[in-house]
Amino acid sequence: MSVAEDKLAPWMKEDALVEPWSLKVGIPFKERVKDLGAGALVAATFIGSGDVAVGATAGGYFGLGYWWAYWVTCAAAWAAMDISARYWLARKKPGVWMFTDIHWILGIFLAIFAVYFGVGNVNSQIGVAGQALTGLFPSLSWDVANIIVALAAMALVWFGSYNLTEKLFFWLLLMIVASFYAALVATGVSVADAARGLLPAVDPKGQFNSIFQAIAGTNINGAAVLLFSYTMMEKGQWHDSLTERAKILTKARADNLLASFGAAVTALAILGVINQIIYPHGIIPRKIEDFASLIEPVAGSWSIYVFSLGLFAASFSTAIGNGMLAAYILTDYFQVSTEASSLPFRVVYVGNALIATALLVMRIDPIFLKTVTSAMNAMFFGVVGLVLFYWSVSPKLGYFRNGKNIWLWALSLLMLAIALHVGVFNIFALFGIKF
Amino acid sequence: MRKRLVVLLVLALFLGLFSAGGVWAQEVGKAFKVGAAEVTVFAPRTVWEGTNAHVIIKFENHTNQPIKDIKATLALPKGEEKRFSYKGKTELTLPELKAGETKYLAFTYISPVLGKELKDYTAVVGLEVGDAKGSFNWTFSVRPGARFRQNTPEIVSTIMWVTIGMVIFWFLVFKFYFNRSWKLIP
Repeated sequence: MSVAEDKLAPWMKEDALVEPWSLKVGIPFKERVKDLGAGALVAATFIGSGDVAVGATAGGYFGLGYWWAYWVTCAAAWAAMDISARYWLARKKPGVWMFTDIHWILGIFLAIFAVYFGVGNVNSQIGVAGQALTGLFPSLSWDVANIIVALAAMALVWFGSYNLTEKLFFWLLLMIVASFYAALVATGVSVADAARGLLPAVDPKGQFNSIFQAIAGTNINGAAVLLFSYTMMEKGQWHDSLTERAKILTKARADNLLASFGAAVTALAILGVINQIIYPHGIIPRKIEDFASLIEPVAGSWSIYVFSLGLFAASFSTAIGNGMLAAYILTDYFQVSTEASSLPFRVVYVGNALIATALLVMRIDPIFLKTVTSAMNAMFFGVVGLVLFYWSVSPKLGYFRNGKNIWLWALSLLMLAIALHVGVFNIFALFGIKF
Repeated sequence: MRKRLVVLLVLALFLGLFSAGGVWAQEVGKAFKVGAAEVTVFAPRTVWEGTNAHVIIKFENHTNQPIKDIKATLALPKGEEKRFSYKGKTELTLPELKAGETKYLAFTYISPVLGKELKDYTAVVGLEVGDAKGSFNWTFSVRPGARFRQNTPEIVSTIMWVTIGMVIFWFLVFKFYFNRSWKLIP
């Protein structure tokens, strides 16, 4: 599907003559909502076990006080995915090309990171999904639960299709949001605390830097921001006419809102529950089960099942989504058929997932691995942010470059600032320097 | 329309189930009187091996007078204390609870040790408000926990080497099977 011709294609010549953002493409709200789909897939991929783990820590230290950080980082995630969609519409190439079009070394960097995503991240997500399954079925051992989860994920990718995955992810996202909000309903929410949480503030225990890194690492999934352009490729969202492509972008932006801000909405439920029952007692949950056993006394024994269901939906969808992203990047990088229905795509997903499942024998704590992944995400986003910013201002993006649009400039700069902040912070941390 | 209806039904079912759960939960966190104070104990009924459980006690003063000398004690299951890891205090006090005030005491980070018997245990939370005494039997079931290895730098390096190995593996698979050439993005 990717087009190798990097010289000026006919549509690029047309684009170059039109002032950026000068076309008026009004699309009714109803029509934008009707076409939502890819957003649910990306949102369910973004919201994984890391959101529960990071939310538990952030809430334990500061209750709802860091809710603002979710909105800020989700806005940066929106900007990142918007640039990735604009790149696709300007050049008819998805994610990985953004890197290789600048320098081949960036392509190798992305390919290596994609493999880590397909193995390390999928390993931790399968592990947590297995834990959640044992919460639902107590007689099941963790090892058997992991095998069930891994087989289900591999079967879905091997025998399923992109459309089926998108539909399934819509339901999984609904399950995630419903489960965590059900917990919030049961424990009650302090509206005043939630409102205060929207105002930027820093916790008195001095954990701001590390918690902000973790929130950024889970919300701006460095590699998963590229997933958005692959969903557009899968859905054939392309047209030779610039006006039609501008319409496609308008619809995609509605999907992007769901994809990026889904995490901020879910965070209210996670932080809200912690704010009510954990934060007042200075308890910092360290494990997923900590969270479950803290909710249960307040919300009732059903909470373990409902919480486990939400956790299962979150980690299962992320195990599939992140693994799919690795397969998209690798197949695209090696220039073979990139669609989810192709044999190379399925082989890469299943190959990585098999190794990820085998690694579970090592009994690595999935939350520990998730913490490592969040740090890697944040560091990786330093590079991704620079690449995306380059394209947002590049004349090569033609009609879809920032141009004179103040809002796009503001969002691009926000994304760049966060990318540099978290990237620099994590690179220094690699050498043992913390600040 | 039908899709929206299904979505609404699923949401209603979730919230309904949870609300019902909330009602049952009040038997666990049921308020009772000890002296002049109203006391509610929040404690989990399910605890996983190697995971932390916390007992939170809420004291409310609905009278017009301050309540003095409040004490809470924790007695781990008798004769089975070694099956739990708990480094906190077993006695906590509140000198005064002003009129209309609500305060909390908490016994935190109580953890069933790995590899011990999985069954129901009963710990006792003792409560004293002035001269009045009360108690709460905290019965909980210990479930098997996932036993993870200790987090070490070796785990991170193992994951890194596996990743490098897989990168090399995929290069070979694409070269010799799918592409049969070094066909990469230029």
